[in-house]
Amino acid sequence: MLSTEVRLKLEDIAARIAGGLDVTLAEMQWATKWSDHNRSAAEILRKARRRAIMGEPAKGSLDELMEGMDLGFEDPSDHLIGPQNPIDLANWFKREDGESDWRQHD
Amino acid sequence: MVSQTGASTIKLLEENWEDIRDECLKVSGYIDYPEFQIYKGKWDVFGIIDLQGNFMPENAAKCPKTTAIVQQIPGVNTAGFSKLTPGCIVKPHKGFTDDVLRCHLGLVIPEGDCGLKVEETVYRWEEGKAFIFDDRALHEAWNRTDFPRYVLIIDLLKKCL
Repeated sequence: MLSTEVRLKLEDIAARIAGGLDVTLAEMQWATKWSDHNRSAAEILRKARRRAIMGEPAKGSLDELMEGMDLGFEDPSDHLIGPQNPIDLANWFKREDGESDWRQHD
Repeated sequence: MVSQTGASTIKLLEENWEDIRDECLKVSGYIDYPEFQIYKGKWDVFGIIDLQGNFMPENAAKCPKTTAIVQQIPGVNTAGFSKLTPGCIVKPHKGFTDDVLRCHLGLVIPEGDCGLKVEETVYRWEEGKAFIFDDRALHEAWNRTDFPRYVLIIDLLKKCL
């Protein structure tokens, strides 16, 4: 468990990382030592780095949920293989190509 | 403008690049670069000096020539091999601290679309050539070739340059 003093110092460093502000090497070394041995510290730093790269997630978004639960990294561009714009998506659901709908097979 | 210390570091690395390359290709124990959020694809690294500035004894023992060369560099803070596999893209990002500059030594550089962009400047690595850039500037890298790219990465303390 982190002491209040350590947690506050970690959160200060994390806030600067998240904001793209400078952190000294000594601060990073100190924070990394904590994160290597403490899950809470690692989570604070991981979230900060993620925020620095991705920016603040939209309210109610999957990114926000995943960030809040520290579940990793949601990047739909890594695995999105279907239609990517709303019109293509709508056309796909309309299924105007004459193919039978698999839902009618049951 | 590279300082005299920076220039001597580059000279040292370039004079010994083939030994470094041979060890880079020989060692086992590359791991995924842990900051998964900044890249797509597979980016493997082999640490020699960690962020605390300490040699990683098990890895250093696997590449004794590189370790001996790196030990001669004033103000070296971190060091390691970086393997960017085909198709890997490192997204635009900035380093944490203004206290270091980053040096890359090209070791195995495939032909084709493989490079590093620092702000608006695009660098192409060359085998046996080293350069220094500011890691705090927005930078990105990519390997859109069919072969892996290997470089030696070293962080140098600015106050020693």
